[in-house]
Amino acid sequence: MPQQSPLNQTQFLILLVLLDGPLHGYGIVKEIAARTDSGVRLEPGNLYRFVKRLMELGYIADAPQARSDESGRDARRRYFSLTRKGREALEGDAARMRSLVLALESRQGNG
Amino acid sequence: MNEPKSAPGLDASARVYGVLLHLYSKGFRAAHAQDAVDLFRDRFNEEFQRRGWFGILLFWLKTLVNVGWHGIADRLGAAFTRRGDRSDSAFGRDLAYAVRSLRRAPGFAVGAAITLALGIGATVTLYTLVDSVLLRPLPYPESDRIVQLWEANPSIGLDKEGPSPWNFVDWERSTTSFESMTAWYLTSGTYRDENRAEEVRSAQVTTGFFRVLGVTPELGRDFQELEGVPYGPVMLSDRFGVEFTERIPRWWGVRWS
Repeated sequence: MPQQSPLNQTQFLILLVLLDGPLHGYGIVKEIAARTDSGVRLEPGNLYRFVKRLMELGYIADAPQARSDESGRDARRRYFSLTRKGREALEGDAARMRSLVLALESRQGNG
Repeated sequence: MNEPKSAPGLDASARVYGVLLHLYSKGFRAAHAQDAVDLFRDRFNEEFQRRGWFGILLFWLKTLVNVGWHGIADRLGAAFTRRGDRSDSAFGRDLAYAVRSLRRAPGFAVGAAITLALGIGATVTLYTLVDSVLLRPLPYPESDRIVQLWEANPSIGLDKEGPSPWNFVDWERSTTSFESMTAWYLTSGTYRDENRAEEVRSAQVTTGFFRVLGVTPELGRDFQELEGVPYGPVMLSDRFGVEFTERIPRWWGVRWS
């Protein structure tokens, strides 16, 4: 299987917040802001470019079943969920970063 | 659950935002335009609740930059993807459609134009301010080598104040870290001629002042060592010449007090 290129930070964060279940766009924005202490606040214009790219890669997909659980305005929102391929990409990237951190820590330990 | 009350201007802003999305490719709009407008509405309300009209202004500024950048990037990406397929001249058709839509709703078009003009004007002002205050270097050669030193006096709660004259003299004598040093004191002087006396802004400086800045006078000479004790010659600015004497040669004979 060809090795996936690393995710960028925003792609990684989107996949990460979808680990807990499907979210709509505003949910993704709020969840990422909460997990980064508002350090990353996506806007409508860029969030959906990342969403589009992640859908093209097959990492996320529409989650129509999530809408039926909602009422009112949320019912017409479009929800996204993590695919198996997306989860693998996320875990692969996390492992890659973990090895980099370990390499750095072992170097500091030796220094 | 009750919907939170909408911020004023939300619907009009969302319509303007919908028009701005024409900067994106047709494929993007077909798949995500409605979601993006919904998210815009959520964020617009959120910013209004958090910071009021100031939040709305900042949000619009960010949105304009954001949409401009990502819209063009998306459009270029789509163009590269379908390179060679000349039958799909989507941008031209989108542009014509946007113009026709605006002509059918002139009130909305004017509102959108005013909003954009205000947004772009505010953005330019903000960036000009940031550029002049934070980014653009001082107008002196090698200005990144110029530093300003302060004294601290924690016993009276002052963590940043100008040094006393004798402390500066000690610094200048003992330090080897700087090519040259100078101290200054902002004050005012009085310009007098036969007809008038006016207060002008001035600064008392040590003789190394212009050497530190790396500049030389256009006319005359720089200050020389020791001639600054206790008070030495005066250096007049070009602005002073324009405002007070009109013609440079008339500077000669000016008395300074």
